[in-house]
Amino acid sequence: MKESPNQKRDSAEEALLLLERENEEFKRHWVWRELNSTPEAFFNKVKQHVQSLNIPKEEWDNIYHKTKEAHRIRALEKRSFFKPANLKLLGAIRV
Amino acid sequence: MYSIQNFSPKVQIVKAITMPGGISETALEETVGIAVLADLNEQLESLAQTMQENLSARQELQGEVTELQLIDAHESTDINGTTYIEISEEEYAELQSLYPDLTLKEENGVYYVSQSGLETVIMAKQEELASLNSTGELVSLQIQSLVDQRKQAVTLLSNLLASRNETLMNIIGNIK
Repeated sequence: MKESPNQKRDSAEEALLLLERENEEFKRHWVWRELNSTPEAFFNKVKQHVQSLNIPKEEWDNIYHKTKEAHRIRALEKRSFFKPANLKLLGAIRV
Repeated sequence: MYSIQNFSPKVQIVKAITMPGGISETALEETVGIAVLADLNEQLESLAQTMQENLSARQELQGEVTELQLIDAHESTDINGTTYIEISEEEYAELQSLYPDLTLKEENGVYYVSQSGLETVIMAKQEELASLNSTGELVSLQIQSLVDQRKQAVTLLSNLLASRNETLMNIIGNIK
């Protein structure tokens, strides 16, 4: 059955609601309390730290992409996205 | 509380390889892991903005299509071999302002819009709406994927924190 625009809109709203909930959970995560910091402040420190390391760009990019890909694959595995019907998503959601 | 004062770094077993920047390979991988978390968070913020804009645009477009369809449902009349729909003066003014290419006419104080022209506009708007729907669907998937990846990256950060990791200490060292 063809989806109506209203059904699509609902799925978009659901995605935004999910993100809102996840963001709240993320901000309340115990690591920030333990670090006595906020995500924003901590991430600024991360950027400064990375800059101070003066790592060659090529080296950084290489490890960065490997790490990101590893996160992506692990996240997909957890979600059971490897079901044959969902394999097509592997290409569609490469972010 | 985690602080530089009470931090007691355990001896880190790292690979013997030292990178050109003077950082061990393991420490570099950990730093990258934390940087990925920061980037995932930024990407999510940006996608949320995109999704909000997409949603607003779709709602506006859907409203526009509904209004045009309501006009299209008005009674039609044949004038010189062309089918026209009778519209109010307000609708005439609005259509003229929003769709300058639409064929409109006024005859003896009665206002009309060309039915084929109106239906062409409706079809174009519906195509635009379908395209926004597809984008919205893709962005929803991207949000879901990034949320999962961020969870994964936070787990890595928690593990580093639990092990009182040296890389993490270097990053948070000057927060205080």
